[in-house]
Parts: sequence; structure tokens; C-alpha cells
Amino acid sequence: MKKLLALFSLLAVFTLAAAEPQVANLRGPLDLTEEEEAPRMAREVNDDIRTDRDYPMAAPTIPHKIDGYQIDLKANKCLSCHNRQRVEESQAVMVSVTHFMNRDGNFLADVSPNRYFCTQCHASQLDVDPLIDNDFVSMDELFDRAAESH
Amino acid sequence: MKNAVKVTPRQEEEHIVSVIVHVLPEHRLSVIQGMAQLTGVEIVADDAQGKSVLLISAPTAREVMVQIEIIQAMDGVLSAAMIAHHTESADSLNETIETPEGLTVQVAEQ
Amino acid sequence: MKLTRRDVVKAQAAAAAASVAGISLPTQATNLIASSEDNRIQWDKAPCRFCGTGCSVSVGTKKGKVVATHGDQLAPVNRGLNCIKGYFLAKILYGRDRLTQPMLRKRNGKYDKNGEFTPVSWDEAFDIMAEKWKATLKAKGPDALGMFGSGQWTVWEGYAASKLMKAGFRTNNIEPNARHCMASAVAGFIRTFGIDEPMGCYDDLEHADAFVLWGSNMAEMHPILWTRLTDRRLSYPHVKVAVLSTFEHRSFDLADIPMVFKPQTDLIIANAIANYIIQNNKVNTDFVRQHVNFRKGMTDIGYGLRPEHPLEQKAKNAAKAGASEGIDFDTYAAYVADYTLEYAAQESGVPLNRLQELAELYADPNRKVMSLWTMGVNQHTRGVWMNNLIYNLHLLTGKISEPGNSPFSLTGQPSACGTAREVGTFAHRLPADLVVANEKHRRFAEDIWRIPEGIIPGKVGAHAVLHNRLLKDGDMNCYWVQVNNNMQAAPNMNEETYPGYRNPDNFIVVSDAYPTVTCEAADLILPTAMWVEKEGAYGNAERRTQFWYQLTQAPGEAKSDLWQLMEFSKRFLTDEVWPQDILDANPDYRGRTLFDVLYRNGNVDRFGMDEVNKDYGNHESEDFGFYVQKGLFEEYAQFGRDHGHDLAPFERYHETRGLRWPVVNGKETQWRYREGYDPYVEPGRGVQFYGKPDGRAIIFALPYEPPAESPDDEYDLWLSTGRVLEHWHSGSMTQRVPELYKAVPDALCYMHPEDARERGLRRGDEIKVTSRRGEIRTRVETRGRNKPPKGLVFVPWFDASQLINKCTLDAIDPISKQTDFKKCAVKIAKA
Repeated sequence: MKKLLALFSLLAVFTLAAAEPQVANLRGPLDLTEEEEAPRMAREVNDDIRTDRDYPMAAPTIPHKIDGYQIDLKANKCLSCHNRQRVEESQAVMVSVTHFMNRDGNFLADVSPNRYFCTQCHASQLDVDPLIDNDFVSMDELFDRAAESH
Repeated sequence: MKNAVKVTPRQEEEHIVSVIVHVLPEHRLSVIQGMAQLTGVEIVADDAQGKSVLLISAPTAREVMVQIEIIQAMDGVLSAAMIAHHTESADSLNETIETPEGLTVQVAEQ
Repeated sequence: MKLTRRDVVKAQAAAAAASVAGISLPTQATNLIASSEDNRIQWDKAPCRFCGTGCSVSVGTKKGKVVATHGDQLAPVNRGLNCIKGYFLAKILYGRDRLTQPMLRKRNGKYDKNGEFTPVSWDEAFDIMAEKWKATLKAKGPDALGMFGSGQWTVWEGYAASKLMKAGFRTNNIEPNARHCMASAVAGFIRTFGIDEPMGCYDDLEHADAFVLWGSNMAEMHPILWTRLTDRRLSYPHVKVAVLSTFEHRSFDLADIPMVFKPQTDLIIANAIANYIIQNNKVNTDFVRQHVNFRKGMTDIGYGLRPEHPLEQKAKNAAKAGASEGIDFDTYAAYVADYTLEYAAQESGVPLNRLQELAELYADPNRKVMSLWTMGVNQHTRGVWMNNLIYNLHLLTGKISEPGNSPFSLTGQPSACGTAREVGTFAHRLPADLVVANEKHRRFAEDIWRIPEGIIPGKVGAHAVLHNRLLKDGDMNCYWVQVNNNMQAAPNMNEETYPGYRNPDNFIVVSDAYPTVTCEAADLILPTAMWVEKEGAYGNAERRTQFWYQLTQAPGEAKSDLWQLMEFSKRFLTDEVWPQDILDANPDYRGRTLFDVLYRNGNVDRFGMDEVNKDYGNHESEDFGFYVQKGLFEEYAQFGRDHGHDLAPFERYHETRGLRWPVVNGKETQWRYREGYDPYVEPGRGVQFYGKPDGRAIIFALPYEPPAESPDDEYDLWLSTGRVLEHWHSGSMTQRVPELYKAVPDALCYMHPEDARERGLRRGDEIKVTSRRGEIRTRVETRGRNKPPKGLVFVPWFDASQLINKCTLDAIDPISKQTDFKKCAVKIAKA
């Protein structure tokens, strides 16, 4: 926090812009009443590299482009590769088997309708760097740290 | 096909799923015995009310589902609900982690 | 000792299942990876921090840190599911720039409005606050003080804040940001039913044969309820989904009857459906005869702008906007007779056959209908009318208060219902639907609060938008903002919000977990504990009250809003804030602090530390020496018990995944007003709308009136603002979660490709969106998830670097005082 503040006040000196102290980090050094160039639209990450999940039940992000995917009453583009009947052919990762269980805990032959809209839980990622770092520590990391300290 | 998902080379995968099974109490013992004989199924805990926690490991999700379907078809089973599902390459699952002193591991050796 | 990753994964999976099953793993299994207690992952329940759906999540903590969250399998709301935000909940606590100490603007070691933010102690922070508060009280009296909280306050935080302002400082100038969100829904409920909040519940989603979304994008804003609706639609082919909006969005993906209408013409569509029901003899005459009255509402009521605005000068009935007169069915039928489907089609732009299909959903007596709405209806200069008009359709057909027949007002915030509305943290309200303007209600509250008669002022306080105007005008000088980001959220930032915060006469305090834009405009920032860093309670949209324990410690010196309020109250003596005549008549109250009279009143301090669950921390109770949350809750619950708002005993909520009030004889209530479901309905009545003295709900005759601002030759586009799935409100939490940030990093301007082409723009071009009040720079999106029709653009408001509320207009519904964030006029040009 202090580092960030220091950085921003340094920037402020260079831009000669800030009459106000800057703390709203999501805006960077920009004064509240000013506007700066909007960031360019970034590309969707499309490397198909699955990322580690921080905990077992976190919804994995989508490692490929889904721009223009149809998911509606007529068709579900995601399931055309990821459903269990399709993975043999598509070589895509099969949807988690938890998705075959419905709201009442019954096990269905196909993906449960309450899981139909994939994008409610899964999002592709744009090729951008986070504005603010996150210090979340996963249980794996905590475990590793415990091991290191011995 | 436009936007088709790129094919990623298949590695040896392993699926680990935890499942809660509810059984009518009078069928508890027979179901437990039946489940214990299934490949890749470990019974981690069970209680007198007929609830048990299983771990199922298999190389494909399809095999996991076959095991769950078998369990669901057993006499006295009310439900088999999946809780967690983890997929990872078998290689990386085999990686060892240094354990802090004093910690013990008593898993999967049954 | 060697372990493999497989062992760790298996142990985690087994522990998760065991926690859901409610069985403990045998010692052998708990020792899967760890033998010492502090290596174990502890699983507890908590409601999600985000929207009004109120999903329950299982929160895993280890060594004092939240290490995992997942959908709670035992929760009736979400049965193990979360939306994408919910899956990353654990990370909202750990953005690197969490505020950890109070910061005051200082120059040369002293407070200075234009000084640099400088870390100070809590003592110094409260000293300067108390100095400013006292000076203002002395110079101008209590109405120069104000407080702005939110539907994200816990139940007891809102309750403690309301007491501090209304009974402590003796001003009703306390508002929640729920005024921007649910005020029209509240006024709609009170006008039609005489009692706030939905009669139905989420179980209606599994029973309805048709769903009608009025201006709501549930797919993004209430994702888990959308999964339940989707489940119903896809499992039962006869079910129909109708979606009404001013632009196409993700909810249209499930629509059997998609309808894009011209802004504001929802008023015409709703009246046309009512007329269709009447013309086709589909009125449920028995129901209407027994349970309904008819009234005609006041018209030409203005737009709640400043009084000198030409639109207000022109409006004939702005001062009596909420008035109405009794009429009969025939008069009502004649009133809506002009609203034919053909006329509605012509005015709204929706094809006639779709309107017919929609009207038939309501008219068909064999089809159970659930209507759902949120901001499209509520953030509307005629939002109360729209709420009333939707109830009209359910009342005309008797499709109400039974499984599947349900007009259902969705809420935006996790405790808009539980705190803002039920506790009554509004300028006009007291707990359990009581109001400050009613002397009997004030006496009742003073009695429960154990304070002298006459302490609570009867004058209704300033509403949210008026707060900003009063700050700008220098009439309100001390202002405390908690749990919300109103600089980013309030309308017309340049003209009405920012000037008030930076007005040299004013002292602005902002309590937050992160340095938001509101913090930046403040003079003092207070670092605040959030979510599971405190013991809390939220109430969701289906009247479900849910509790959680403090599961981890807040970073640094951060403290909960509750702690801050109560600690601050110690700095005031009754003699400094209460009138002499009342103190003369009640000398026992002299020389006591506000903390003593409000929180050490024999109620709030009734439960000792021995009742606090030893397995969890509780930083407020540890500091104050009694079980603060329980004392506040049990005092508060006195307002509603036996008055239709019964809450269960405190402990019960820690044991359950929430209960839907009224909780009578230990049982929750799913459907209100219908015999057999609701214990408050008198035997033999069948249906009783007991919020009204005669048990009858009201059907309102209300017309179409135009919006406050419409596109013209220069400002030629409608601007609608709103949220996106991946971010919660102003993004102060979700923009700090890497996965969510990378999913949707920046706001974009969604527009029709032809509108873009006509302006020489292509996807990705930088543009200026300009209104009469301000402008932002953003980028054009012509093929994203939102597909506006020609003539309308959509810009989400989560992005702190693109403050779209610089463009919006502070026009409000004159009855509810809620802003219309969905309609103003802008122009767009290449930047």
C-alpha cells in the first residue's frame, strides 16, 4: 500500500496533474475529475493451457477464445466439444462429473439443465495484467510453507 | 469448424471424485461391502444413519461415472452425490511433497 | 515423511464431502495430511458477500486465513452452486491494497481539506470526527449531519447506525444505497400491499409455468436464480420464458418470447396486458371481488430534480406524487381501455404477436406465472408505478401468493432486504415497516430502545440524492459513508456528487476495506473489516435471514463498521446532543454517553461474553465486553415479533442455512397472505393482504408519462447503465480478484454496429460518451454479450477508471426518490 502510494505520488510529480492525493488505485494516478485514454481492448487468451485452480471446487477459467460462442435454447457450443459423448472426438476436457447431478442430488445421463449456461461460472481470460496484486494463499501454498519452515 | 477447441495432447490423467452416499440403514452393511469391491473406490467414512463418504479414482471421467451408476443401482441406495471433482495428470499427482516433521499420512494405503 | 500431491488432493476432496455430509472423518482420515490441529481446514457456512440472491457458501479457513470457498450443498438457495464471483469469494479479502489504518488528510501535521492522506491512530481519527460533528451540531443542529450506508451492512450494523443517527444525533438523515436500488420496489409494495417484501419465495422458480423478466438480466445479475429458472425451462418443455428489456442481453439466450422495447414504454405494455385480460374476460372476478380495491394515482408528478429545474416548475403535482383516490373496477377498466396491444406495439416497437403471447401468459388461467424484475423497473422515474402495474396483472388474475404464481421483486444487494428495508435504515423508516412520521411508531421505538419520549425526530430526513445536493449546497456538513462507493455509484457525479465531497465547508468520512474513488474524495478514511472478518447477518430477497461467524481477522487495525459506530458514540454526552427540556424531564439520562444510552441500555448489553461461541473470534464483543451482535439482534427482533415480521431466536440462525420470516412457532413462511401457508391469515379468509386494514390489495390506475430526458438532435442516443456478471457493483472487491479482472478488465460501450458505422467507428475504437453533464472515454464494442438496438448504448458502471455516472442524470422517481440510471441522452464521437 505504502509502496503504491509512493509510486503514485512520484507519477504525480511527473504529470503535474494531481492536486488531490491519489488513493483510488483502480484509477491509477488520475484525478477523479479527469479522463485518460481508455485501455485498448485486449485479446482473449487462447493457449489452451489449463491453469491451476486455487482450491478443488473453484470453477476453472477457460483457456481458449469463446468469442461468438452460441449458448442458447437452440445450441450449446461449449458442450459440442466438452460433453461426455463428444470428448473422444474433440479431445477436449470433459465437463466435471459434478455437472451431471441435478439440484435434487440425482445423477442424470446428460449435463444437468441447471448447469447449461457455462459462462455463469466459467470465463475466458483476456491478456492483461491484474491492476492490483492479490495476496490470497491457497492451501497448497500454505502447506508448502509449513513444510519449508521445518 | 470456426473457433474449434484446439486439441491438447492427451496425458495420462487421473480423476479424483468425492461422493456422499445415502443408504437405507438396513442396507448399510451390504452396500458398504459392495462398494468396497469396486475398483478405485475407497470408503473414507460412514455413519450409523447410512451416510458414507467415498473417494473414487479413475483414469477417465467416464469410469468414475460408471462406478457411481453401479453404486446408485445397489439395493437400498437413496442417492450418491458428487461433491468435489479434481482432474490432473497422473505424473503431477505422483510428485512428492516434503512433509513437515510430525505430520503423518495414512491415506490410500488400505 | 513423503506425501504425494495425490494424497493432498484426496484429503481435500474427502474433507469437503465430509463437511457437507455432516459426518466427521475418523481420526485416521482426518490425519490424511496433517496431525496437528492447526493444519486442519475448518469449514463454516456464510452467505455470499455479493448479490441479493443470498447463496450460502462453505468457507474453508486454515491458520487464520480463508483458503477456499465453494457452494454450500446444504443451502436451499443454491444447493452447492456458485456463480463465477462466488467461486472466487476467498480472494476478495486479499487485494494487496487493503486499508489497514485510518488516514486523514493533513498538512503540516494538522487536518487540512487539501492535505495528503496521512496514517493516524483510531483515537486521532475519532477526535477530529467528534470535533467536526460537535461544531456542526452547535452551529447548525442535527440536520447538518448525514450518514450513507448500504444494503451490505450486516443487520446489526444497520440497526446500530440507525439508532446512532435517529436516537443519538436526532436526525433522520440516514440513508442506504438501497435508495438507488430498491426504493421503488419498497414503495410499490407499501402502496399495493401495505407491507414490504415479496409474498412468494425462490421455490416459485420450481413451480411456475411461465417466467416474465421485466427489464431484468437475471442471467448476469442473479446467476444462481437463473440456474434454477433454466433448470425449470429446460426440464419442462411447456414452460415459457418472456424477456423484456431495452436491449438484448444474455437472458435472451433462454427467451421463448424475446422483446426489446423503447425506454419507458414498459408502462404502456403493462397497461396493455391488463386491458387484454379485461377485454378477454380473463379477470378472476371472485378473487378481485374479495381481495382487491381500485385506486387512481396522482399524475404529472415531475422527476425529483432540483426545484428550479424547468421540468419541476412544469409538473403540477410534484408535491403530492404519492396521492391516489378510490375508484371502482369499471372506472379502472375504462382507464386502461385505450391501452390496446396494437397501441403498445406501435409505441414500444415490440411486434404485436409477441405482446399477444406475453399477455396470454398472464391471461391463461391454467398457467402459473412468475414475474421477475430488478433495476430495469426500479431505476425508473416511474418505478413505483411500474411495480404497481406488475402487481395489477397478478391481482387481476389472482395469480399470487401460491407456489408458482408470484410477482417477485429481486434485490441487488446481499442485505437490501435484511438490513436496509427490514431494519429501516432509510430517512423515513424505523424497523419492521414503522415510519418516523407516525408518532405512535416513534413512541413504540423509543419504548423498545429505552430512551425518553420525543427523542426520535418526526421530520423525514433527506433522501440519498438530496444528501449530495445538500452537501454541495453546504447545508449538510458532516457526512459518514460506510460499506459503499457512492462517488462511483451516485448519478451526475460532476455536478452533484463530487462538488459536495470537496466542498471546503464539509468533512467527509469514508469507511471501506479498499481505497475506492469515494475514499479518494474523502477527508478521513477508516479501514474496515469485511464479510467473514466479523460476525454478521444478511437478509436476502426471499425474506431469508442468514448468519455467519467471524472466521478470520481483519488486516492491520481494520475494524468492522459496527465497532466504528459504537466506538464513535462514546465521544458524545447526551447533554451535548439531546434537548434540554427532554433531559430536564428525564434527569437520569444526563451526563451519559450515547454509547451508554444506545448500547448499554439493558437490552443490547444483556448477553455476556459467556454466550459468545468460543470457537470463533468476535472483535466487537471482545472490545465492548458483551455479546454485541446478539444484544442488538434480540432488541431489534422485538419490533417484528407478533407484527408479521417475526424472527427466530438468535442461535437458531447460526444452526440453519437461514429462515424466511415470519418465523412463527419455529416455522418459516414460504408464501405470505394465503391460508395454509401464512399463519397470519385469519382462518376462513383464504387470502388476506393483512398489510392493509381491510385485507385488500390495491390495483392502481396509472398512465404512461415520458422520461425526464430523451435523445434529441444533439444528444442522439439513449444511455443505459448497469452491471456485468463478473463484477459486483463498483468493482472494489471483484476488480482485485485476478480471474475476474482478467475476464472483464474494463468498461466498454456496447452499441449497435450501424450506430457505430454512422459515426465512423469500429469495434475497439476509443470514443467519448458525452451527456449534458459530463463525459468519459471508453471503447466501442459492437459484438459483445449485450446487443443494443439502434439508438441505445449500454455502459457498465463497475470501472473506476471510466466513471459513467459523470454522464447520468439525477432524475428520480418522485415517490420513491430512486434514481433512473437507465435513461438519459448522450452523444458519441471518436476520442
